[in-house]
Amino acid sequence: MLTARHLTTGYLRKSQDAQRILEDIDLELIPGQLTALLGPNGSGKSTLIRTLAGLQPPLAGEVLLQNKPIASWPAASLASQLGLILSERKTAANLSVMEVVALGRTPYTGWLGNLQARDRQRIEEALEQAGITPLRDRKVGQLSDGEMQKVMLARVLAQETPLILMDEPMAHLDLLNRIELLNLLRQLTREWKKGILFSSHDLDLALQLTDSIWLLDKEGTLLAGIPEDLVLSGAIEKSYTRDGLGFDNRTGSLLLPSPAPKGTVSLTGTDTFWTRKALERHGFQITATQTDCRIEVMVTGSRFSWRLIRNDRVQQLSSIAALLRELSRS
Amino acid sequence: MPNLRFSGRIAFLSLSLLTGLLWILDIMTGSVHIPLKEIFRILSGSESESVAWQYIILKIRVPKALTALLAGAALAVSGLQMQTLFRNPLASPSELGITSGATLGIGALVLTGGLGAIGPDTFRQLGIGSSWLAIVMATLGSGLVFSLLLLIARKVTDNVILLIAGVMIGTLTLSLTSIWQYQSQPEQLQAFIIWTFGSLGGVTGPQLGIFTLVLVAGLLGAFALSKTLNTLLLGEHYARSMGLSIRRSRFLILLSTCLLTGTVTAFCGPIGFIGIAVPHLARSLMGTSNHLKLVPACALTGAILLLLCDILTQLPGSQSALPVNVVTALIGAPVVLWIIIKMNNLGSSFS
Amino acid sequence: MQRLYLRFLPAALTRLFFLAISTGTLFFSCGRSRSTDVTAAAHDTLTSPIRYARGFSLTAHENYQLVCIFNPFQAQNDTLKYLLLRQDMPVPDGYPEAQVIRVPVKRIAVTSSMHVGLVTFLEATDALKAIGEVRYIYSENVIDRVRKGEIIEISNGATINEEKLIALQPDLLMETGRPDMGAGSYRTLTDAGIPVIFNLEWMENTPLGRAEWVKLMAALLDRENAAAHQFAMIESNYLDYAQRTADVRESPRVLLGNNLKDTWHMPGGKSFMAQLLHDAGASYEWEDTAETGSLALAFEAVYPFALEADFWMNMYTGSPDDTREALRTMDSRYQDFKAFRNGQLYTFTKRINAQGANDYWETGAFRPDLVLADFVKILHPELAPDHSFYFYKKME
Repeated sequence: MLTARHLTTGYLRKSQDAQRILEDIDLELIPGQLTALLGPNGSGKSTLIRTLAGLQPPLAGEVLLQNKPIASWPAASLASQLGLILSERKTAANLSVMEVVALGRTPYTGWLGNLQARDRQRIEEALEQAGITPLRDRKVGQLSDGEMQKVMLARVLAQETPLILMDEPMAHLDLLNRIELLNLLRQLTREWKKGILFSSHDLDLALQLTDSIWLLDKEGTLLAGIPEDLVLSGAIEKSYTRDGLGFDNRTGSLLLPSPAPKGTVSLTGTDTFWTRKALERHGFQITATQTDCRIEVMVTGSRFSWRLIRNDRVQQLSSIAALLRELSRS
Repeated sequence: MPNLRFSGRIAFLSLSLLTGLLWILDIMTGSVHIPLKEIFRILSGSESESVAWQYIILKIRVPKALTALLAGAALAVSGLQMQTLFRNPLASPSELGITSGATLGIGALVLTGGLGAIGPDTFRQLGIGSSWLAIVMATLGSGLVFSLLLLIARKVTDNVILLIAGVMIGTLTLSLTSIWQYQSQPEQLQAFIIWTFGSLGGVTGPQLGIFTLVLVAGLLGAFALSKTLNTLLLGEHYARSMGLSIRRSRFLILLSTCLLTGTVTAFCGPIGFIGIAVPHLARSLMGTSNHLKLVPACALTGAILLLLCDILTQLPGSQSALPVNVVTALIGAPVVLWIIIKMNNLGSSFS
Repeated sequence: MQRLYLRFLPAALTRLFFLAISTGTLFFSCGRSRSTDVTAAAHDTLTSPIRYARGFSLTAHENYQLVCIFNPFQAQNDTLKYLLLRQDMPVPDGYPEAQVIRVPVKRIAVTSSMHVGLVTFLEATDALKAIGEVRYIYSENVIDRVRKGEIIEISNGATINEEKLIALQPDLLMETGRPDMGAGSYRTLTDAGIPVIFNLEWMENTPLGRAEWVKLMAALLDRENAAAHQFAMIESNYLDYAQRTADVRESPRVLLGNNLKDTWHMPGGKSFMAQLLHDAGASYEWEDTAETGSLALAFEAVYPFALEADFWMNMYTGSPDDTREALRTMDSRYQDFKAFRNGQLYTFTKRINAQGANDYWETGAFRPDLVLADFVKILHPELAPDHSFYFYKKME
């Protein structure tokens, strides 16, 4: 278990006061839990992760791994407890996937790094868990960002640490890859009882898939709790409200600033969800009462069509885009 | 790391064969023609019909070929270690001023009176003690420059800026050497300049024993550092998270690199381009960045290249030999240009 | 830049160093070097015929001669010893570190054109089997023998081609003494039974001292009587000319050398060149300096004197045609010099053969009598009425 007591992170600077980023925080990373570290850019997520990993010293307070200060752990034994994936994307393009994953066995192999049967087995398992067994002989230089992130994950799995810290593991991934990766992390916490902390901007996914959230704001305060508690306490809304942006506590999603109102339309039909979303995004107000601009959504089989009735003129339209075009014409 | 795969074995076999072949070829080339049959007779320990031939083979060509083999391997492996440690494709002993550091160390030895002068003939007549002293001083000189580079590398992450910093340190070191040169007499200067041309023929007798001992130790040390170097491929933060003691690793790499570069520079003069060019050749040849394969591959390729250069110094039909440094530059500079032009590919071996 | 300059310094520049040396770069006393009591001992020996040279001693013993070459460069390995033994003589005890040279040397290899000059001067060209490079050779006889293959070239760029030497198996190699020379030098050659002797003539700081090295070559080639005779002739000629200028009332001011790479190498006051100038009845601005080698001066330190000097000698123009025009092209400031305006410019380029080799480098070192006669002819023509220029000529 990784705990932080009265932790202050930041950088020591010569000739000036130390630059403090987070002050006096207490944290606990528990095996079997997936924790997201959320916060806007510049709130100190990376600094916190590096401090927790022992890569940089805290300005005050302490980081304890199994109740021993992290700095007092010898590098080799620390490497069997705490795995790390950093946001820096450094590898040697010439290495194969297999070779990078095998580097995860560094704490366990001999002086030349030769692999024993147990090492090989762990590597195979790690490849399997990360779902990249087919990629094993590819050069990492040829991989996509998503594949590369899985390679780094497999590497840290091969390292067999109960705790894993990840800095922005989803930064360069598309939505599907993000969901896939997060799901994978969740499984790892369930099946292998790993304690995983990852930093992210991705509020929506974190709210849905994590066991707990550490929420940072620009002022350097940190709130920890399970996602739902943080939502209900208004902490997330507070942290994410800024310049017209907002957080909808009801739906658990981010709100965009509303565009200038363009008019009121009435919307009827069977399945209006996406049509309503599009209209609202374009500044139309939706009402159920009759107006001189009416839209009917019609479904035949799986095909959608729209009927626009304006000043008793009726138009048949085959897509929402066409509908929006027509609306903006007047 | 996985075992060498089939292609790896073939590559190593070919490299070893080529090394052996060029070694023999290097012994066969020289300004005096000696029949092939005689060469093999002499090498196999039999008496030759000509005592002179026996001397030429055993006292000139074999030591020179051995020196070329070891110096090539040493410089190439130094370059590989530096490129991995600095994660910089253009890092190498001569480009980052490590060889000038060794020169400075030797210069200091001359100033303090440990050596009378540096010239092509200096090291041949040193006693055992002075030879060791020269190795220690050259290693210390290179170590000084190396430490300075490590300090700068902590502040500077940009590869090109680090390279410029290295060139600056090299220039600084050379100007210190130049101040000393300016104080010396013209003929001392001349001897020094001849030394800077590089020479593989100056290591004979007991010096060859010391030279071999130190370089073999340095090369074995570099091989033992393979795991460390591999771990460093992902950058120092990852290396640390995987249990590597960065400070200790840096020191061991520095020690091995400086021992190899310093010793070669002390005995053969500053030899350029092998250290920068060979690691790239070896990487593309082996298709891997795995140091368990790269260190031996670099050693072999470096040996091959320097043997080849030594053979080429004996221009056919020419009475005299070119300085080896000129030939390594002729072969090495195009390789470096190729590296720079293919920078994309290159950048990606460390990004 | 500096590194490139050092690494690819062309051979032409290396020659320049020798020019700097020739204009008087001698560093005998920059030695901390030589153990004085050895020298004293050598000179106490009655049998030593060496009177001017400081760089070597030659002592005759009952069955052998002992040659000591004093290394002025370094404290260690001070003295190189050589035993000159007749073919059948046993090696005497007491000189474990000495190299044994069987005399007379029948087959000699040399590296410098000056050594070639010594051999031809002693009329022993038959014994000459290897030289450095033929392109620096003035002697037609030697060039001819190289063409016929009787003499081989052993230069290997900056070093010696040891393979060819070992294959040749000469009785002796004479090499120019260098700072890095020592008892272990050329171990490969000495191990192969080829003794290596160093010639340090260019380190002498008197003209007759340089010339006296002919006696060493003579001892090796068994030409001692001829050499003693020749040296006596050189000595008496030299002293004769020095005598003629002893009472001159006006000593013309002489400027030497020129500005190369922002440094003007000027012979020090204790160099052989300063001695030559003194003996030629010249006035030399730097004659009171203590250097036996050369002074590295800035142009502006030389300029005031250069403007006023009556004669200017030993310039290097860097072009094959030694003309005033070439000199002016090098640096237009030269034309302000009085000697330049008056055309009093002299260089030792009279004797240059078709391939550009200069006899001055080959024989000038041991013919100081001719150099001095040229000097006197330049500075006090009335004192050398029957001498015609040998090495020197007026720059056109």
